[in-house]
Amino acid sequence: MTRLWLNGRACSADDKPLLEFLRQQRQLHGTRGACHEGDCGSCQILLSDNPLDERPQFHAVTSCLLRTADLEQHHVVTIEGLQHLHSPATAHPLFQLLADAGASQCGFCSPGLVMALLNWLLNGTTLDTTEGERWINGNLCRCTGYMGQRRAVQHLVQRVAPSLRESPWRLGTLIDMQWLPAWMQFPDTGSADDHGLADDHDAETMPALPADTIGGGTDYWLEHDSAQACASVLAPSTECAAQVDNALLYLNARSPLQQVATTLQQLDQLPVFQSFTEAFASMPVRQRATLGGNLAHASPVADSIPLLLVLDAMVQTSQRTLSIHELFTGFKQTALQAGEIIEWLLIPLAEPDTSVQFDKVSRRPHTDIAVANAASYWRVRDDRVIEARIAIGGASPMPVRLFALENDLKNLPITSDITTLVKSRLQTAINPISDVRGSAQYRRLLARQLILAHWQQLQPTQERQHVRA
Amino acid sequence: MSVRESELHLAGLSQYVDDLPVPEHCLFAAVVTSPVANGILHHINADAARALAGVTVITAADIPGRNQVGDILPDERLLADYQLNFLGKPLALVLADSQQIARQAAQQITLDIEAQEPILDVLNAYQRNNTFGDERQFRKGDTASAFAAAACIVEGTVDTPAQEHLYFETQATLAIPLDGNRLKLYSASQNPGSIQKLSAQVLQLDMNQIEVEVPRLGGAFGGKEEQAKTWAVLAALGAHLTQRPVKLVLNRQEDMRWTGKRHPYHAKYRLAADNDGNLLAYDVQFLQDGGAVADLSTAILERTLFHATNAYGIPSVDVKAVSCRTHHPSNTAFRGFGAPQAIFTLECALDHLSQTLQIPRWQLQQRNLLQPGYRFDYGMTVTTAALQECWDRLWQHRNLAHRFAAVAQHNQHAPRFRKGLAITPLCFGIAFTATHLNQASVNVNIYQDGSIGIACSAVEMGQGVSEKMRAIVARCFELPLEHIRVDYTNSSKTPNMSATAASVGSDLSGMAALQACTTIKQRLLEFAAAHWQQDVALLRWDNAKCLLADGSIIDWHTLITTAYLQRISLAEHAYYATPDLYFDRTREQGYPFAYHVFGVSAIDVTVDCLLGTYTVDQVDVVYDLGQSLDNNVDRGQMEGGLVQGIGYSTLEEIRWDEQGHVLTDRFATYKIPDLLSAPRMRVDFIASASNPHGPFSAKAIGEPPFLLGLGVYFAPGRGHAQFQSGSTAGYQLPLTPERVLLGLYPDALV
Repeated sequence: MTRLWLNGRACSADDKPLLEFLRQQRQLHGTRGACHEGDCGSCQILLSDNPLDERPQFHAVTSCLLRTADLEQHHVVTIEGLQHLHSPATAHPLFQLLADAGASQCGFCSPGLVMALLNWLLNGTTLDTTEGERWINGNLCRCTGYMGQRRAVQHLVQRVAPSLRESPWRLGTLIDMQWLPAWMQFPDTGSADDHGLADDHDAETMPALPADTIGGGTDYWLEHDSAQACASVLAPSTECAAQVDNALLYLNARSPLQQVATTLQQLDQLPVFQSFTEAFASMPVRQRATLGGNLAHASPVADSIPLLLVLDAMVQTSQRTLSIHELFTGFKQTALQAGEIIEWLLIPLAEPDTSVQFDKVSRRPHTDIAVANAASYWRVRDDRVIEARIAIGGASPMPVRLFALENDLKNLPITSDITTLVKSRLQTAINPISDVRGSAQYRRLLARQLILAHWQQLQPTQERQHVRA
Repeated sequence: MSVRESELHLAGLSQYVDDLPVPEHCLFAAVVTSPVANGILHHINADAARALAGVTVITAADIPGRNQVGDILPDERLLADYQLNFLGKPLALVLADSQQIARQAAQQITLDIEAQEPILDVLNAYQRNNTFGDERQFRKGDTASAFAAAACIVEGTVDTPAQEHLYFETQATLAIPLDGNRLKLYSASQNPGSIQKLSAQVLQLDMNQIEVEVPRLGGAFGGKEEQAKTWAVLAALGAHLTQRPVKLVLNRQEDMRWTGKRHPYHAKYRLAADNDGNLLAYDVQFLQDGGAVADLSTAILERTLFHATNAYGIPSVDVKAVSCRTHHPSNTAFRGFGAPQAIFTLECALDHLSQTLQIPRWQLQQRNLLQPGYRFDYGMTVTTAALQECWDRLWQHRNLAHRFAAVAQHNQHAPRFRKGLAITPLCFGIAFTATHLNQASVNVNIYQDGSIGIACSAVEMGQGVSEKMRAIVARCFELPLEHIRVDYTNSSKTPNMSATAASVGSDLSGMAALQACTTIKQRLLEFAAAHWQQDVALLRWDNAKCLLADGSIIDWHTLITTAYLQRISLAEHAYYATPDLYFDRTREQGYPFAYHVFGVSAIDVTVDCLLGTYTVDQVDVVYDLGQSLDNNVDRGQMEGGLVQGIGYSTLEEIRWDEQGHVLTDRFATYKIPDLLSAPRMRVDFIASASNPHGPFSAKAIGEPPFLLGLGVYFAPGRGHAQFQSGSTAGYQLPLTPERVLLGLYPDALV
């Protein structure tokens, strides 16, 4: 039995998917699942893991990828939590603003959009339209009312963002504006509201399977039915998400990826991590997914692997420290022992003449799984390559470093045409397959083009422009 | 007080079928379906499932009436009893006290099946003569002579693919048994009238024993026009046999695997022109993959025939089309209803011609744009210049001449990121092509307190029909919108409903509502004249008040209260049938459409010629909407339809394995556009002329925007990418980044 807060009140929950708990046990039907795999954003809720702090933090996450058992002492806020702020409930200024902008058509996904927008208003950095659109891009809409959503973001930037930017504490300001309820700051600490628990038939039928240990679950629950399987989610580490120590950059493998990115930005370290994080997944998924989980899942298209391969990262587990190059042993296989947890990733601090690139090509440009991805690490002096490191994902059973090619590139002028060289090295270095995301020949060509694109980025700006297609 | 539908959505207060309170003793359903695309079912062994506590298993043998749910053709059993014709064909219904137990029980059922080789390819089906009816042919002029004399002829093939509806709300029904052998069904359906009829047929009940209600739909796009029926009738069957409520909701994978898609088409075209690019003759054959049963395929095929020449004037035309039977789940209605495949095919032929003649596509389009007086092959004549008006306005207001020049200049030095721009003109006929479906009824009920309820034949599915109905009634009585509410669509309130489809929902129900309001208003005025002893000719209606000749004012509330006390009917049931429609299928001639709508779009793209990825940057549209009833709704339909059409053309792709399993059966593998991949848009509505077939001269907008998005395929342009190799490999949607890259570097892998 898990103790948590739901819309300001303490309650208890059996272990089950949060979305099912909300809809079937608590009759909170405003939270709706459309995809049940974290892709559509329809079932987003606001979640806090420190609800009793003086200033609790809330983030939007997809409730289909969460189990109640992982929410001990957490606070869950659903759309129903916003229904008592105004009378009638529809008079909430945010709902009015969205309706006026034409941001809701069939309405099935609308509560999820509201949650995503509130998440942005609470946690966004610049609060401009570009950021707003990026933060709500995890909310798919099949009526494709995206223009209405864009208009809504614009209106929020004009009307609300100025006061929020100046606010020392956004949650407090939004509570004062009656956009969010006061109990988000002060949840009721009285007795639990356990309404509905006694009627639950499903609780006894949960199979008792051995639990896997997982990160945020954003990959795991795609492959396992959360109504059937069991897994114990690692609580995110309470330590900081990233830090610099002794010429090493430490990335917390158990922190949500978004936190790692934010901390790196504050530390002014590893600038490529910002665009990498953006490409990795939608905001609600980034709020849960961890580097440790992404590595341990060891997918051939895992975005973090090529990046960490070219950074020559060290992997510090609960038992030992090993090189990233020793971690992967085959398709979705790692050298991790049972119970061994990835804790930290250690990256040597970059030399000043270093540049690191990451690119990902997917069918949909954003929030999609890669067909292929590439990372590269370059040191260039006097227009010649001093050191090159290149890794390609999605083109082999596991992402690979292209050591032979790296050697070839050493000392080459950056203006060289490397097309033939890259193509010949790739002949043997990669071994792509065909699947629903792309054919083997496409992946092979794409691997070459990604490397050429990175190579082109080394050129002076005016010479990057031309392609002999 | 009534609020906008969208406000309820945003507040999380809207109820969809799966959100309705679950009645006591409700059973939950799981459906056992065919694991093969083609085969014979010898035996269903359900003993183990039935042994589980509280589990009921229902098969074809339990059906009290006819095991038949085909609508146009009677070729579709509700539950298979012998022949299995697609993967996902239902063959048993499992009911239990919880969803989980029902699914577990369904897994315990074993089947004795003889699998046979499936036909999954439309060409294969056509060669074997597996068709739904004969090939149809629309003709005009003498194509043979025209081709013989033409200076330029292009010919080739076009493949337009399937598309998954991916409505966010999956198929869902809640069936509740009532006394007197009656049933109430809450169904997520565009077509409650059909569900009522088919349920009665399957259960051997009268239609008046079945009430079907649709709260609203979480998206439909055609996917719930015909294909909600299986799940609704199954739930009805379960409730009828067990006399307990039954809830049947498909999960996402079931929905994606078991329900039909947009029809894939294979087309062969020949197009003739003179050296200046004037079109002379068009000869095209469409092979439609209808899937396993007829469903709506023949009706969809008919719209393909009607729209084969889209927005162009062509002197001689020969269009043939036939629907073929394969072993896919039956393909079905999807926004555009057979028109996208037709319109895209002709645009491909024009593209091909443009390369052959070395005349820009837009010049060919402009030169051949249809003009007033043009007679379509099916007999109707174009009566307005609205298309030319849209074209000219787009051209001038959006600087197209300048933009085409700028694109050419930008691309001159072969930069990595190249630009493209493509125009798509559109002509779309408005009406159900099955003439009898063009009817609707509406109840307008004024209550004693002055509030108004509307019951209409149209289902709300995000297309905003309820807002439009409110707007019409509000405008008739000059009342604020908050007095007016639209009820859930219900077969007991508006009998014999046609599906909400063909973009005509707000036209048909709107015209009926207008009629009802006019009748009530006249009745109220006559009552007021008699009651307050005035000459009715001198009464005026102003701002929801009745002004008497002596200057006194009777406000709405007083008028309604007084009329009620004086026993004046405050309700009206009105009926509307679109006048003058007919179509003679023996001659393929007639007057099938109430009117045509017209529009033109311009789509800008940027192609990354290193990686093959591209972005759709900007869409500009001019569309003849007539008078808008709700600008937010119409704008949303235009913007949303465009993005859905762009998604179909660029991104969305269903893949099957050799046995017919859908490989793209989840959001992770079937990709739809997201916000960041949607282009910027500028939408310009014009009102070309009054429209007697739409309430307050409004015009339809549901489907046409989808078609205006198809032109994105042509935007990247051949100048710098060979992926549109129409003359050799054939044209093929969607234009994925894979096709672009392989087209850009065809020799890279040799």
